[in-house]
Amino acid sequence: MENSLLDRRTAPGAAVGEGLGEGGRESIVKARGLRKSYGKLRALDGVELNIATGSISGLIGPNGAGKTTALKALLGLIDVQGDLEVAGMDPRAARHRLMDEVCFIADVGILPGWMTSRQLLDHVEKVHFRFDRRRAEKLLSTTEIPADKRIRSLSKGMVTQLHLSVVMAIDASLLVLDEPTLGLDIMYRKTFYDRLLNDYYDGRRTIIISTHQVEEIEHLLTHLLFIDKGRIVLDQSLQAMAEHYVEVAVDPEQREAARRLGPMHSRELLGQLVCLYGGVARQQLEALGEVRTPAVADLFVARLTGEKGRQTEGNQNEN
Amino acid sequence: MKTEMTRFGALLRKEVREHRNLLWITPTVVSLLLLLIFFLLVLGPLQNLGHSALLWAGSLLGNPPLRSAVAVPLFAAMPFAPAIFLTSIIYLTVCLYQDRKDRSFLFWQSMPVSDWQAVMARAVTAVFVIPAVFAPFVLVCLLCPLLYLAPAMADAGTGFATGRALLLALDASVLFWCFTWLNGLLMLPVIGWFLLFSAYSKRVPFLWALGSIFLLALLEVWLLDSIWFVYWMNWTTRALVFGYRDVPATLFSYDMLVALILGGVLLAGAAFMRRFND
Repeated sequence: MENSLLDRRTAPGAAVGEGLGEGGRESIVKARGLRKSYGKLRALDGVELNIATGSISGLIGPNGAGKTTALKALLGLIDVQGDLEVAGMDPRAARHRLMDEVCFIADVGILPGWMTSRQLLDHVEKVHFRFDRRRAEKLLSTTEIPADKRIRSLSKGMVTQLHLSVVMAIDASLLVLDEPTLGLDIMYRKTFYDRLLNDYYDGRRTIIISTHQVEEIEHLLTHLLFIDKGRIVLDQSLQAMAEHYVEVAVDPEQREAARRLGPMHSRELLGQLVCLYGGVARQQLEALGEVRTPAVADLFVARLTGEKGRQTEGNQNEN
Repeated sequence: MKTEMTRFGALLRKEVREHRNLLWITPTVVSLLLLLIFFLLVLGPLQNLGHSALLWAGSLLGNPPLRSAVAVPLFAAMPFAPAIFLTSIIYLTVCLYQDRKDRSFLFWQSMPVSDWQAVMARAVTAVFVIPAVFAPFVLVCLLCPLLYLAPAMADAGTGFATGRALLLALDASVLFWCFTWLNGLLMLPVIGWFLLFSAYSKRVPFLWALGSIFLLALLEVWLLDSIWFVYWMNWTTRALVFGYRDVPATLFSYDMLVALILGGVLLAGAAFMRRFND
């Protein structure tokens, strides 16, 4: 199953060009110089994005980095400066038309609590012309969600399942997920992503996921976007990331040699030095110890602390 | 085949479902109160008025042409007018605000429904749907007393029949509904004003909406030494004074034109606020 899912995902690795996403595919999201401020706070500070059709992109960043603001901008929920095109439309001018093509699930339960799940299906069926009610009912039949109970009386896990079932029954080309499994227990989280991949993703649709729980989604992703202080600090396919970044568990006698090569980030783990390098030949690093592809979470920490380290150094030099 | 009308119909149905308590409880309470008052009177003091009272009622209801006689039940239905106004104001104050408060706003925004459609669905609910929900209650409240009195009035020799009671109640209910939505259209600026604050306020939208009216009036008096705004409010809310209206003449009047233009501007403001005020 895992292999067939991987096959369905976009072949990564190619450079990102104007109007084209990874692998030379058409971009479903094109953003140039997106800016948004709340008073003195710059939530988005010149965001550049090119997300290829059919990719599964992870938008990862610390709290307050601008993830939700960026996603809201893509959905046309806030006004931003800059050039923006999603599914061939400007979300700021045509949010409601865009919603024919785009679905999203937010970080909190946003389904109306006063409705029952049956009423919810009734409503969406009449309002969203690309909604397949039979498919939604089939998906819901695999859950324990009662049809005539008010949504406010369901558990958070059930509400998320219900929302996912509704979204999966809509024939949209882009799905945006903003911390969709926040507050769910591990069973629901696993089920959520399993259903997303097995029953929804077909290689044609594009998914953007923003989450803190990077470990849970890194096996799904074809593309990584790191955001910090309103800027995209990494925009790379998973394959390119695996080729560019290498983590080494350094042998004790190679510690000095490892430091001389200038790791992006290093840490002590059970008495062993672990270094993360970017753009250093793998063969050169193999002499230092055990070489492996870094986890996304480790790369994230390395990139962000590296950025902060460089900024601190820069400030000190200026002073 | 799904059309924009199907979509708009679903939006209206959603409004009725969401605010069902407000929309059903208010007319039920008003109806029960009115019927209680009537039967207390009939079984109490009116009972003793006897034959002459029935003759008087019969002369008002039984002999004149239906169109003249209908004024009596129409007058009896008047307590429903402020009830509809109050229900509409409460509904308009909470409808957009509640979406943001319970965060369902994000779900509604994920549907292919424009902010203009969403705001218009609320305005149509206030002008047409709420009076339509009240209409059967008005009918019952008129029908019960008329049917109760009909045999006695017939016995008193007034020529009043049960069939006429039915016709009067039905005619009065339809007229009442027409006048109510006509009033609603004339009060479109008020509807737009409350929707604007429902879409804008972070909290207590009713106080914001009402407070800003007073504030604007005071500012005008203080800064410009004029009371134009008070005149405007008076002009807008005079539609509240319920009375017989010539429906076509009111529909195509300058008052209606001004109300539609001002109301349209305020509704557009509410749609704009809804879009960018998360």
